Amino acid sequence: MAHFKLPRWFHQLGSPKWFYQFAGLLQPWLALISLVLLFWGIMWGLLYAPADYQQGNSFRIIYVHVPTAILSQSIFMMLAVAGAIGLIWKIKMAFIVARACVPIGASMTVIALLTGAIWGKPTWGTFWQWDARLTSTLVLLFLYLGILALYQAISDRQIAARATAILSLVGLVNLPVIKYSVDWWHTIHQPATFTLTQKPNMPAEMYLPLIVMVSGIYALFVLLLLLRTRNEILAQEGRSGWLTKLLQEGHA
Amino acid sequence: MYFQSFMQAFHMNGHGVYVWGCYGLFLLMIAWNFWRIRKQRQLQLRRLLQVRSRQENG
Amino acid sequence: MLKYYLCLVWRDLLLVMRQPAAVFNPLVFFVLVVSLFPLGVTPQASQLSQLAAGVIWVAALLSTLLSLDLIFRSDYDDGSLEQLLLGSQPSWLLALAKVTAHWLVSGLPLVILAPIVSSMLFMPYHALPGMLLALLLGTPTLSLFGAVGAALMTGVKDGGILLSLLVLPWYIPVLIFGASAVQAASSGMPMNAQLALLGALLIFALMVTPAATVAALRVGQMQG
Repeated sequence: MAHFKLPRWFHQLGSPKWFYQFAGLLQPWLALISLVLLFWGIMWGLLYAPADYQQGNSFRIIYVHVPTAILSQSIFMMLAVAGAIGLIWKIKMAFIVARACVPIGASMTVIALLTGAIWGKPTWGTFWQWDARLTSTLVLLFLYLGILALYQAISDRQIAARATAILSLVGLVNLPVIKYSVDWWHTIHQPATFTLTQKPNMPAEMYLPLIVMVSGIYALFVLLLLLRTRNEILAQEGRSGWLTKLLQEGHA
Repeated sequence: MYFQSFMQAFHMNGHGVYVWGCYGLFLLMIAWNFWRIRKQRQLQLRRLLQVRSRQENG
Repeated sequence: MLKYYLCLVWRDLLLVMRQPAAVFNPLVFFVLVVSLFPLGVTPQASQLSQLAAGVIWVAALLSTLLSLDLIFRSDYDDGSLEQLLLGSQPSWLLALAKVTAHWLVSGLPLVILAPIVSSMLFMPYHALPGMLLALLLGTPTLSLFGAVGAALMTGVKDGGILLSLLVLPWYIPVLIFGASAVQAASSGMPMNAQLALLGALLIFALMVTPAATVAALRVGQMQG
């Protein structure tokens, strides 16, 4: 597959120097966008959206639970795909991006789990319920923690990047299988409660804030990713000439 | 606003603890991410400056 | 190619026969874990027979995990793994042969021990054929996915706990369908769906894991 030709911008992104500077230009805009969207979404969800007729005000937790849950999955997908790109086309930047994804994704998963559990208290009466979605989010957290542990176990950055790329790819192909089997297991052992987020025909004033929050948190993710990637470039490219020059000019 | 008063918004018919707690955790997670990134960046920059001064002096 | 495969499997079996203790220990562990449950939960037959399916599968998962280090460790340490990877034969065949040998010495004995262990847990006898079938279909999948983790661990020192952290989440589907199959068998319900799903998991693992194992082994070689 290595002879497959990639577009030019892809290789430009693959150059740490170019990426470092481009990300620096993008940062303030992303910060602005995510700040506005998240502020707007939080205010709308917390104070203006109507309460649910069944769950009351605890329904407002949806506006942090669902976006973090969505992100926890798509970040995992992204880090596995970035790892695959690194393995196939031998692009160092792809490994760096994958590395930067892991702690962000893990923190999103933790928040998705915690908010799910807290939401469970007023809805189910207990903090934890072996609900299919919570269970598969827990498994996702284990996958993230495994990747983090593998990074820490291998001291050589190059080798650690390749090993974790393989690990996350196997995790990615397994993810739907695990999700499906947990769903199947859940339908057998169904507890007599209603699920957190399954809601037919949510009215517009309820799902519009959700859309704002989801887009805001995506913008935040890209911002965090760029910041972490730049840090990683600083750590790995320390001795290259362009960085020394930037440092001397005080623009790093 | 959906609520009549701020006290009502705070209390949310008894669900306030859960809702505000979740939003608080969410903001804490964001703050943690930025804090980690800032700390790492300072560490790397300091390391780079040390390397440079060593090169200049020796 | 088949000859190469059989040669490799036979070589591994011979190596194991010279050092049988390494194979015995996970099996002893399997029986030991199972016998902890009556001590820890209850010796009552009615409750134990309800737990049996899950306990046997969890114990099988854990003992497989313990034996995973056998797959590549000694070959990695004495350098023969490097030679095998450099050979002209396709290396996924090497991965497959290694897994086959591992299953023959760790998975198959579990299946043979299972009837004894299940009677210790008062599982009804009519569930035996179903349980054996489920274990026969499920344990190779455990070996296949475990091999990926073991290959990743070749370059890591003291990777024991880390290995279980990486591999156990992948075992969840096998645990769910396997335990559910045994449960269905002991309550006299049809278990075709569970067995079919276990078979599907096995085929899926056969497609996915050899390539990943080889890739992981090559990464491990970079370190040497």
